[in-house]
Order: sequence, then structure tokens, then C-alpha cells
Amino acid sequence: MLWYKMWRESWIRFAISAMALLWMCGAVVVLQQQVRAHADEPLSYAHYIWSAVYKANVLDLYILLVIVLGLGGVLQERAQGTAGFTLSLPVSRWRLTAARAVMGWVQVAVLALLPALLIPLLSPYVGQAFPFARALQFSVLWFGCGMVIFALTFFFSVVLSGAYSPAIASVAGLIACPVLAELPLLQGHPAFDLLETMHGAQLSIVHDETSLTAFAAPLPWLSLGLYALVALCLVGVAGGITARRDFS
Amino acid sequence: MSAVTPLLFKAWRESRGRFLLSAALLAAICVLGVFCRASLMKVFMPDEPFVGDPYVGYIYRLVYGGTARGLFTILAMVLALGGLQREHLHRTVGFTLALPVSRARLVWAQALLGLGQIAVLSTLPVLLLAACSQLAHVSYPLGQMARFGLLWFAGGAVFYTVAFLSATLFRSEYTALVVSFVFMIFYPITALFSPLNRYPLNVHHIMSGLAMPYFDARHALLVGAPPWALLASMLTVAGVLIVLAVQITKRRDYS
Repeated sequence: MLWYKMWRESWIRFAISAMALLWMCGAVVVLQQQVRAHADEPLSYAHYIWSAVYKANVLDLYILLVIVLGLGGVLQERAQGTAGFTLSLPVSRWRLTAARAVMGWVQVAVLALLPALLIPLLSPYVGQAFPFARALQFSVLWFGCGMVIFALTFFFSVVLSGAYSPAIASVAGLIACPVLAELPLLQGHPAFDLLETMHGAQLSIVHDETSLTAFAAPLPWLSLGLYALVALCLVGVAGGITARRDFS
Repeated sequence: MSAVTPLLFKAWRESRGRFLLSAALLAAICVLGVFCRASLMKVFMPDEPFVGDPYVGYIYRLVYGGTARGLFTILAMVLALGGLQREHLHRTVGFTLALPVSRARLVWAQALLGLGQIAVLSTLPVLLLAACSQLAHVSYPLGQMARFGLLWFAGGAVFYTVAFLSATLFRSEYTALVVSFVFMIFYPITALFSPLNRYPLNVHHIMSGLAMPYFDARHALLVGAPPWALLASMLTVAGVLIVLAVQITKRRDYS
């Protein structure tokens, strides 16, 4: 029942997000010849997909969509006058928080998986190929980083009462990431640059390479593990705050 | 006192938190960008050959063509959300509709205040960069900043009104936000399809000058006269979208 409530609260956002991502990936594949023909330098199909999907436009969209999925929660329900109904359900506030977080993470995972399903499937229709295994690697990166972004917005939704302030705060946090990663203290740790990890800079060792062999590095499991831990901590703190807050 | 002032005050009270947060973020980027340029230049100007003034190139990449511009676009859209649909969700729409003013006036007041906020946000980098650059003994041409400010205002007005219309159409506050975000990234891709690709339809590019005839990418400077026709077209589009939002609001049943 709780899962159904969480699903009902977010399914429209999720459905629009999924459709938008699918359309964007489809457009990137369909437009490949046109864009590559106008590129300054010769661009392999794999590199083009990486530039357009995993590094630029589609990634930006994914990040924004994950932020929107993280919005909501009991504090926002209070403004609508429905917090009382949610809090009177026979479940603890911890369970409410956990259910919303898990539903969000599942949606984030599904969104991350969409390009991996669509691009390898669609590529043969334009006379190209993009291996599913490679696409899946990027999906894992997207999900790993998406978890933190979702958790960050989730946390801000518990702390900030405005409906849109958590979104602004999350965008600000993400903008700060690459700057913080350049601080002398953190410079030796690429894990701190969330966005760099997300667009698979480590996977594309040599950006000028024009073949698929350029994407051959193993996934940064340590960074991904760290992100999962940070995400769990953020949701845990959000749960703690929700459990103690007076919503009257 | 005319009815407009209280309506503007109401709209201000509803959006001031978002606006102040937005202004603070943009200000932080501009101020930190100037004073922490030694370390930030390594991020925004990696070891690439750049023929122009490095500081000008750096400010362009950080503010007018990069991070701050992207943030400004997002903030413009977030500022537009709210209005009667959201009030309907919060069950306060009855109070607003009971005010002795027409719905059209309500919507126009909200749009007017929002555009004023967009104007302030577009002017903010001009003021802060001019002041901070002087304090830091570096210089960025004032004329460039003013022209970029103009481009930002026109582009920001388009994104603002798209989100404004979206907030008028969709009842859920988050649906309006997700639709606005999707539009922001979705439509530049659509503009790549023929025959749309023959026209300068990408507002992101118009704002940053990227791939535009009025921008010299080698020196990261705007050249020639401002693109008045483009600016006028964007403001017309913004006006049309507001009119559309007004018409929809007039006909909608909020019961």
C-alpha cells in the first residue's frame, strides 16, 4: 500500500521523464549523420554517442529529472494540508521515508537504464552499432551518481519548506561539486568530482580516440560505493529529521 | 493606490524566497569567480590555446557561456512556477479569486513581477563583475557585460514564460517543473531537425553567442550591433506565451 502511495505521487513525473529521455536518445541516434558531418573533427559513432548522451544534453536532462524526482515528502504535503493523512497511516515515519527513497531510487535506476536499452537497439537502423555492455557501464555510472543527486534533493526537501527551494539548492550543490573537487585537499581524489564520474571520464581514457576501444577502463567501483554510502547517509539524516519534526 | 501594487506585492511574497536564493547563487558564482580565479581558471580554462585576454575567456566560460548561464536558465524557470494552479492544490485559490480584480490582472501581475526578477538577475552579473573586477585589479569590458545582460534578459524571458505557461497548464507543481526542464533541453535538439535547423532557434546559443554571427569565439567577445531582431522576436514569443497563459486562466474552472 505504501509503495502504491509513493508510486502514485511520482508516476507522472517519472513517466514524463522516461518519455523525454527516450525521445532525446532516439533523436541523438537519428541525427547522428547530420551532426557528425558538421563536427569540427572526425567523430566516431561511439564518441558521438558519448558526447551527446553521456557527457552533454541527455546527461543534463537526466540530472534535472532526478532532481525533480527527489522533490516532495511530508514537509511539502504540509503546505497542501495532506500531511495529517500521511502521518496517520499505521506506519512509522522512518518507513515512510525509506519507502519514498527506495521508490525514487528504483525510478532513478530505470531512467538510467533507458539509454542502454534504446541506443544499442536503435543504432543498427542507422547502420551503426553501440555495444549493450558498454551502454550498461554508463547506466551503472548514472545510477550510482543519480542516487546521490536524488538523495541530496530528498534531503533538501526535508530541510527546506518551499516547494522549489530544494531543487535550487540541489542544482547549487551540483555546481559546487567540480569547484570543490579542485580544492588542493581533494584534488587527488577523482571521486569528489561527481559530474566527471558521471560522464564516464574515466571510461573514456583517451578522448581523441575514434574507436570503441577508447572506452575500456573498469568502472570506478570505489567511487560508486562511496556515492551509495553518501546517499544512504543523506536519506538516513532525512529520516531522522522527519521522525523528530513537529508537522502540526 | 491602484490594484496593481498589492497584486505585485502578493506575487513578490510568493516568489521572494526563490528569487533571493537565485540572486544569492548567481552573486556567489560571480564574486567567487573573480576572487578565486587563480584556482578556478584551471577548471574553466584548462591548458587550451586561447588567443584573447585569458580573464575575458574565463569569465565567458564561467558566467556568460557556461555555468552561470545554465544556472540562470534553470532559475528563470523555477521562478515562473506557482500561480493559481498551485494555489488550487493548496486550497487557497478561493481567497485569491475572491479578490476584486480580474483573473487577467492577477496573471499579468505575476508575469510582470517575474520578468522584473529576470531583469534583476540578468543585471546582477554586470554589477558584480564590474565592481569585483575593479577590486581585483582586472577588467572585463562593461559594454560586453551590458550586451550579454540584454541577451540573458530576452532568453530568460522566453524560458520564464515557457515555465509560466506550463504552470498554468499543469495542476501538479512538480509536473510543471519537469515539463519545463524537459523543454529546456528537448527543444534545442528539435531545432537540429530540418527545416528548423536553418534558423537561429536555439535560445541557449543566442544567450551565449555560441555559433552566432555576432560572437567572436576566438576572443570570447560579442562583435557588431546587438541582434535586435532576435531580441525582439524572443520578447514577442514571451509576450505571446503570457497572453496564452492569461487566456487559459480566464477560462479555467478552479472549483
